[in-house]
Amino acid sequence: MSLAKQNLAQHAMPGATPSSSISSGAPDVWVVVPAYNEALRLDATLAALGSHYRNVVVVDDGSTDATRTVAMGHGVWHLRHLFNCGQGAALQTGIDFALRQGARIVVTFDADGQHQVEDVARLLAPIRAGRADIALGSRFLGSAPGLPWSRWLMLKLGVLFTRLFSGLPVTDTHNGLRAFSHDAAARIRITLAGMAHASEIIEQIRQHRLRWCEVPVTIRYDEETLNKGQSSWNGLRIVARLVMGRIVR
Amino acid sequence: MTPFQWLTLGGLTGAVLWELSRIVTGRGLWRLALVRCGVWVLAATAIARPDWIQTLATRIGIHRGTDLLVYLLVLTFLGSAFVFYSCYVRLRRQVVELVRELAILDARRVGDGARQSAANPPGHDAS
Repeated sequence: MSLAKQNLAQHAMPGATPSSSISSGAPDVWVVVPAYNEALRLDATLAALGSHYRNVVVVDDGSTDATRTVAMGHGVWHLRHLFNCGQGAALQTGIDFALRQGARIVVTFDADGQHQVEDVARLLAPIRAGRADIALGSRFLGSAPGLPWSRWLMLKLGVLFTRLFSGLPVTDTHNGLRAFSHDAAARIRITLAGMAHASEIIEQIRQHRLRWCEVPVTIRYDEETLNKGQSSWNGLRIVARLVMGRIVR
Repeated sequence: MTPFQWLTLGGLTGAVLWELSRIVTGRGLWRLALVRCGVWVLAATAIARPDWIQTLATRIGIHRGTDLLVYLLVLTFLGSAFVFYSCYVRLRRQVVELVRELAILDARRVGDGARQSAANPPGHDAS
């Protein structure tokens, strides 16, 4: 078994089982949902989250559609960026807000309906058990129905780049489903406003020597989410921003 | 001297005098004014004595004075572009920080017929 696979086996927890009783309405869990022009898909996402978690924060990243109206209709916390700052900035806003409200665990969850609410409990389990400071969702340990090969290739290249860049043997880099303990959420600062934040988070895990693990999750793809997702060119932009972010402090 | 040299040297002399007057009168940052002064003097020297540039280029193995100037211009352009890009990135980060803080201060929750704000939660008595 290669060194990378040994590390992967050490960190991955495919046997982790969901524990809905732990998380149901958990007052100490705050779910941060960054949203940019997601009015069409946000409704279903918030309906699913609302039935499990009482503290949901939607960070409207300067949307020009009805995202705000949809969020307000669900009785969740709504924070609005005056203009589109990027997903990284939206996540940091939501995390800061959740910490100020007394969150003990912060979960990040995409607005587009790709994530499954049931997976959140899997992410919470290692944090609650004190086995990890950060739990990262991995579609490559779980499943990704509908994932086209071009996107698969782009994601794998991203994983390879992040492994070289950070030295952490992660299996999935750009997965928005994560859980942070209070301490980890307070220590990680996302400075790259755009999509490069995912690699930045991994890099900071290493810098702060945080304990991490990967949890199998399911990411569902459909035509709409694929149209809005990252293009191959965006992958190159992410790399460029990551490099420039290191040079310009 | 050619008409071009007369014109540019006149303009550069004016620029040097203006910078010196700013240093003497204490207007602006004297260090920056001194750097600008140095740039104008170098430019004036290169225009007044092109043979010096040629000599320098030959000594450092470039051979042609114009090539030396082109290389210097390219390096200066790249350096300037990086400095300006760095300024842009830092400025953008500061603006994003401001937008983020405003969003947190203006957090709202509407539900169950009640409006709640993070700055003024339910049960908080403003009076």
